Amino acid sequence: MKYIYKFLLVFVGVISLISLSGCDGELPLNIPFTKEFVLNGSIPVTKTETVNFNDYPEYQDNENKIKDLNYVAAAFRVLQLDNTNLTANITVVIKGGGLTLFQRTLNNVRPADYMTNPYDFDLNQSEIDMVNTYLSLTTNRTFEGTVTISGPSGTVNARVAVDMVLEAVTEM
Amino acid sequence: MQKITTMLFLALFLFAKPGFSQFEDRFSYLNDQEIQSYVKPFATSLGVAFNSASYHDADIADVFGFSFSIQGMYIMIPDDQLTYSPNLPNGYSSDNQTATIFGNKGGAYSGPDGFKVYPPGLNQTSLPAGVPQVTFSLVGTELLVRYFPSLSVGDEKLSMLGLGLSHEISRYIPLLPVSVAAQVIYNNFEITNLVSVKNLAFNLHASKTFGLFVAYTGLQYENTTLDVTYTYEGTDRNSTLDDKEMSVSIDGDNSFRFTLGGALKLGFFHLNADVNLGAQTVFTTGLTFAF
Repeated sequence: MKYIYKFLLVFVGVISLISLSGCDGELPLNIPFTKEFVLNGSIPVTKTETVNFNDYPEYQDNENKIKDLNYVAAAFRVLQLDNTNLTANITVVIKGGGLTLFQRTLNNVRPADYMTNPYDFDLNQSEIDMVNTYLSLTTNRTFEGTVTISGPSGTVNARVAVDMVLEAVTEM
Repeated sequence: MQKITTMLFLALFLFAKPGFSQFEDRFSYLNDQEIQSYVKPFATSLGVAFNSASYHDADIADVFGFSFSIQGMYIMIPDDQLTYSPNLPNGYSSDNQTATIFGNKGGAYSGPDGFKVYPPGLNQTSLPAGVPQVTFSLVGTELLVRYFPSLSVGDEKLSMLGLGLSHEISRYIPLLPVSVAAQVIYNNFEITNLVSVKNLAFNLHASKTFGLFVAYTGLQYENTTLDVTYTYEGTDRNSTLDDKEMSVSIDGDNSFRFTLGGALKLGFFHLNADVNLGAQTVFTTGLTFAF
């Protein structure tokens, strides 16, 4: 596939007497991050995980060329659940540098519903600004995520995931 | 000329090389249908460029003529060719479109297997291009040649050859107030084993001379096919095509165009400019040395 771009660049360059007029040497790249959380035990149950960007090859491959990172989208989904009839409250908190960037609580929901239809966090502008500000200020490329399942008494055995897509503006 | 061209090729290749690794990983997960949607506007632009600027006068020399010209083009990419609706797997839905190769933001769509992300484009709404050409004419018939010498690009060879044949048909129609000519053009641009672009065009054009000025117009049918081979490395939930060499043939949207332009003949030098209305609007201008 790289040859398409090799071809594109050669073509545009070779037969162009002018350089790419709108190209400022930057190329954005959407990088997806997924972090799994395993929640086992008596409700309420909480699990915290750290998302280290360097664990993701697509980020690693471009790390030295990344000029800027911006939030694109985030979602929560359930990968595996023993009790598909369970109704509970799900709270997801995403922190950066100890500061809460955004959080959502889904009350009285069936976690099984999110196996096929992920929950889109749909951040408001101030939350997006918080995430982007954190990404622009920190050199510690990590997020901290906490997922809590609470509500009725009982036990839960679940594997869930928080997905996030960041736009990496890279130098060509 | 060959030396200059070769140097330009090499300089651009060296310039482009650091960027290749960046491109390598981000587009290989587009399947054959998605790559068609993503690249089609580029195939159209190639066709629009190669099929442009092939005439500026229907009055072809009765005895012998020769010309050398540099033709420049400025291709406008319409808004509806900047985005497309992705072919998402089951369980995914797209409220927003994603970028074509000329678009801006790549889409991100959530679904049961996590986000499916699409590559961004080059964020280009216009594209400049240029091509050198020579013509030889004899008894109302003109041969047009466009040529780049074969050049090594990595392990492959890059080459371009374009041929056109025009014949003035108004020479058989006495008292016709305008000159009329028919033309067929074929262009082939190729990087061996990687990509091949074939363009074919037929046109009927007419011109009228007013002193030093020539007004010209034309109607053209054309088609463009871009064949490309790439390695599909994506994970498609409905497919087992992972890590498969894919060969895709992509037809450009260019099929018909209307051309209107003017030329100024100043002795051996001709200056021309025209506008071409079709799948992508293109403005061309050229400087020709002719006798």
